Amino acid sequence: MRKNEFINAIRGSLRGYPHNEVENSIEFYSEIIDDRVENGMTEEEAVASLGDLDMIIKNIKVDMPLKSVIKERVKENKEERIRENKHMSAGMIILLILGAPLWVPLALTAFILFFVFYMLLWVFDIVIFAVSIALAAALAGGVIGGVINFIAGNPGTGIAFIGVGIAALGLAIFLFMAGTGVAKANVSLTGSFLRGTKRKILRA
Amino acid sequence: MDVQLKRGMLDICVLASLLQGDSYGYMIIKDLSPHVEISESTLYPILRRLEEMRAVETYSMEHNGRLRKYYAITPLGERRIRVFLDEWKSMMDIYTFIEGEMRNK
Repeated sequence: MRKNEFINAIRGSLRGYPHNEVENSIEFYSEIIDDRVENGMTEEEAVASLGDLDMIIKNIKVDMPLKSVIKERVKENKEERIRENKHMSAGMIILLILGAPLWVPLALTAFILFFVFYMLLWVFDIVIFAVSIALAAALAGGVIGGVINFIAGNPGTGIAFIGVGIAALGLAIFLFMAGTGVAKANVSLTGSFLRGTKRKILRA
Repeated sequence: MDVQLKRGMLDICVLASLLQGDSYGYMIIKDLSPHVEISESTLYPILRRLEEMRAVETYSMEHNGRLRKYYAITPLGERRIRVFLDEWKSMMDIYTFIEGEMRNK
């Protein structure tokens, strides 16, 4: 494939994506092709060395900032509607309005359910941490209780107090580690959800 | 290797390749290829991201009748390298400990 064909293929596949983003990436690849040619490759070899074209196009898409893509989509939709003089039909608008008592609460419920579920993930984690802190505080209680018992002349009870305190600390450390693990899982879950959503919007 | 980890590493590799002087796409790949596997379609998003977070700056210069885009590391980019080195220092300590325990098993 020649450089021109390569560039046209990218431009063709990325029609409808933000113009300056597309041109920036084309500039980048075309500069590398030129440099390779300058260093002794033929144009075809230089293009081939860049790897699979579909992969390159997909990578450009995935990496585009979401904001500029959405802006471009909105602009495109508007232009299309003006060009084709396409408006929402009266029937469609009436249906949307009449159906509002049905679809608005449904959409709202779906959103709230999702939100609550997500909050639950974090609340669960906060509870783990809270219990862990409480158990760590129990250590202080155990030690103080133990000392008081020693002074009061009950060394047996004192040792028991301190022992329980230390056991609580052990449990606190264990729960703290569990809490950290859950937090990490939550963060990575959030990340993959956001990435997945972005990929859907980018149609990549 | 973990994808996220590898991505972060490549960012730092690209930044490091700019420490000895400003560079351009083809040269960065050439400089890095003996050390890490990196393709053009991997490098492009990295450079873009680094530029966005102001870890690198760019400027164009004429070369053989065409424009070539040069990348320069910023103080912010250098700080990122330093943070990376510190983090890996503690990782290496852990590694040494684990390795030692394994050897003395």
